[in-house]
Amino acid sequence: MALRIQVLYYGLMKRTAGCAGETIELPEGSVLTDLVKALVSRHGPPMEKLLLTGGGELRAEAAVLVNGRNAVTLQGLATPLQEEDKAVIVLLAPALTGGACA
Amino acid sequence: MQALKEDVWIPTVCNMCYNNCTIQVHRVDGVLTKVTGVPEAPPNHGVICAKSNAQIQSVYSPHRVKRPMVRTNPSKGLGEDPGWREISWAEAMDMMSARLSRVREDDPRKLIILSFDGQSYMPIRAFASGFGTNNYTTGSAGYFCGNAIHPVAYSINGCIDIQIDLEHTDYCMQFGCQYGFVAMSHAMAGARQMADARQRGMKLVAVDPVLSIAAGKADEWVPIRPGTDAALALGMIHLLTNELGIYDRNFLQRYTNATYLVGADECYVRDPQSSKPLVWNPREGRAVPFDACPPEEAALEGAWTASGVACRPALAVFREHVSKYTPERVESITTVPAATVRRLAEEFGRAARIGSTITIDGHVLPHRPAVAFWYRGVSQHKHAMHNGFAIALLNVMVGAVDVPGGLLNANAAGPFGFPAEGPDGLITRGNPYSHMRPQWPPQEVKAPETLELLELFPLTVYARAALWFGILEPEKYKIPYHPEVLIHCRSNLVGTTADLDKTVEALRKVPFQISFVDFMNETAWLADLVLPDASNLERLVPFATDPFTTFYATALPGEDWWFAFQQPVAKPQGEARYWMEVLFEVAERIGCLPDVHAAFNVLGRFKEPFSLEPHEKYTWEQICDRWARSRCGPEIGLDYFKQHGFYSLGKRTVRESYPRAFHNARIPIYFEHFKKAGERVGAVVKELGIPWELDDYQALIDFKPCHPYHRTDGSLYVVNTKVPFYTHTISAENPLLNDLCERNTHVFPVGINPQTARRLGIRQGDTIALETDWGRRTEATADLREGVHPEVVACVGVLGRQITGDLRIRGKGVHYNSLIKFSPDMMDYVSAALDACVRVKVQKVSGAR
Repeated sequence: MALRIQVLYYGLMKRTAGCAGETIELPEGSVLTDLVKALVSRHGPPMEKLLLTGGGELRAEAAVLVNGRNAVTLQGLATPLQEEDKAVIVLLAPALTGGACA
Repeated sequence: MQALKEDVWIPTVCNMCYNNCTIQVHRVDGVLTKVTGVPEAPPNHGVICAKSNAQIQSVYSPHRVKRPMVRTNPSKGLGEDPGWREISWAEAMDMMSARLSRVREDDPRKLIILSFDGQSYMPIRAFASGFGTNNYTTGSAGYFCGNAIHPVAYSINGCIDIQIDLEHTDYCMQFGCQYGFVAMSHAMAGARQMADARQRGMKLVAVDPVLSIAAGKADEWVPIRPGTDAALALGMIHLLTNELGIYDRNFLQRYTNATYLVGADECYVRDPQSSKPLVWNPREGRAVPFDACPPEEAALEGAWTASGVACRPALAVFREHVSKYTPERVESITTVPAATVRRLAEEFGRAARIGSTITIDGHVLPHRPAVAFWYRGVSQHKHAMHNGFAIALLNVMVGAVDVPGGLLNANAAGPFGFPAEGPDGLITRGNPYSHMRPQWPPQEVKAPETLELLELFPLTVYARAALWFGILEPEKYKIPYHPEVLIHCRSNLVGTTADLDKTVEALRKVPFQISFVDFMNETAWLADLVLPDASNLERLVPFATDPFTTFYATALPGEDWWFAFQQPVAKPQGEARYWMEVLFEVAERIGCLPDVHAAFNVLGRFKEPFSLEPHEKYTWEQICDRWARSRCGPEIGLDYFKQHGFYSLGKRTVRESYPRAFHNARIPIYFEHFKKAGERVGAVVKELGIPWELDDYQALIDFKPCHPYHRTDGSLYVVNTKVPFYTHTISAENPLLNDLCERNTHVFPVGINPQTARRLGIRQGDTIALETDWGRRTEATADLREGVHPEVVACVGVLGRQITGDLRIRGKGVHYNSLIKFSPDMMDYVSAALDACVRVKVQKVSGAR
């Protein structure tokens, strides 16, 4: 049985996906990395560049919330997915502030 | 006499500098009358500085910008009258929304947000994320500060900043900084601890070209030629390791990469199967992966062949490398006498008491009561990253890192994280919520996408100096867009960035500039739209103090971790508004509020049921309340913070204060990853045809002179130093602080050594000219004093303001930054610091009046 995952995009992700959200079907037993692969397959290199590092890791700026919980606090790309899970993907501006004395 | 209707004390957070002291403000019948500290509240426990005491004068200043204004003169320049025309907020919002909407539709990266509002870091980042730009900062909007600190701290301690364990140290060397003297981080708590430590008998040695406030109170002032601190540090390491034999073998074996075998190619010799760095195990007579050898058995000396490569332990290579820094050579570089170099090394090494332990709360820990500390002084140079590591390694050699008495992490270890082993066993960040990107593992190198060119700086945390190069010449750096709109708040970019003319040129290149300011300044003078910003006593800022996200106010050992809210204690003057509330309203108007909320949920760690619904609109108070309950628990909402001001998360434990004995992640003393990162940068810039320098990406830390070092024309170095009552342009407009500056005879004049002055025919009070070799010239009054290195002229802060609200402040002192050349060859291509090592021709213009 296929899983239907509702994906919502925010920030630059929406621009790259060309839509505010979509439903992705995955085989049962899929984990987050399968969803990411499906999104990359559907939207091509621009999506891959936003989501993954050259080493295939989820980029620090690409936050994925699975049912409201940040995937990094779950099992990362190995987070299991269930039928009707909701994945929110938002691209964060990088952490790059600091300095105090100039 | 009429009875008072209102007489209240309201807790909030100061913002007269970046230290975020907790304060309470006395309000009588709606009028602010006094500011004091809150005795029970960290970090300052009831004590405040002159700046904080004076801040009510800033709130009620008649020179505040009170209404939105739009430029009518399209010609921008400091000498041009912008022709300000007051407009309504409604008009301003229409104008701002129209511009930002167009930019977002076209390419959101064309928006730059620059501020020094660290207290609003998270909402700013949420707005930037939701809008879709990666060009923003809430830190130094100038050109340097912690470039030689934050990346180094990541490598040594696993977080972005460092502290001195003043409670347990006996010997404190400060290189070009003033920790504990109200002029830098941990202002008030550090001052208290410094006073206690000195009373206890701790020796304080200040290495500085100028007899700063700290040096003036130190046991010993060591005048040094600017930009040469690394040579002194490496000379001391040479003496400790090669002559005195004082280094912590156990620490180096267990907690550093000193035992890793390295070959002639400057790389680790690796295990063919696992790729792990090898160490030599003498007992087994063979090389084994570093984590397969008991640390105490791994060799620190010797030479072997492993995996077919002739190799030695990193420490042996490093000791040989530093042997060139003999005391005599160090003297010739630094002007510090060879005998002093020897004495300092011996004092430092003996004070470290290698092998001693101390028991704190039942934990038996190594006790290394000697610390070498540094900050901005060594950061503002061409080879900043090497400078910072040279001093850091002094601490590493004697094992004085994250143990009592030593150099401590600011927030690597805490309730939300702990330092961990990364690739090759090296330390990676402990605190996952830090607002800066870590150095290890190095960041991905790729074609620039940010105006800051961050993608070409894999080892540093920010690259603010490069921002201006990115704005001025995006084509040269292959940035695929031009900036269109700049939002600027709570900073004065023109004042705090090098070469005022170059900064003005960069700002003029941005077609539309929006400045939120409380006082008119040089930067806002160039804006298209000026908006009145609420002062820190007029605004509601949730988690203005967050010791895990930022480092400005982290807990000292044994003290409480805490969150604090800034709340309005006064009605905003005129039509001033908190700029974040304005930007969230703009986000709603242009349709990106759901994106901002989605980003804020992630960044702020909002939790159900308090998460922000993307498509719902909240008042600012509702957002603050939801955020408070998400992070502090359902019972701790905005009302709690309004009443108490701060929320304690409990004491910083022994394990959090002194984590070194509780984890095995290693500190690099040998920097193979520098070399490899440099190779990656080299490949990208070569492919793109970007001019770049790669020389400093090397495995061994070195002293390298700045450009002016070799000049022999009798010109003098010009440096600036800080005073406790004047920080940034935040305090510049305050009449009371200006009065303090007037009364201190060292603030507005330029200090010059009497011997040097005699040689140049300069007498006390003369007007003198300082002129760079590239034609920048300024005049000042000469102040002859022994507390200035003979090769130096010394000024204070960044004064010499041209555009101010209060005319009494205009033109006083020297605008030091104007003397700093802003060109790519002055940049450190590893840390992105800009070299402020400047030499000027000094001559008398006229006699004393």
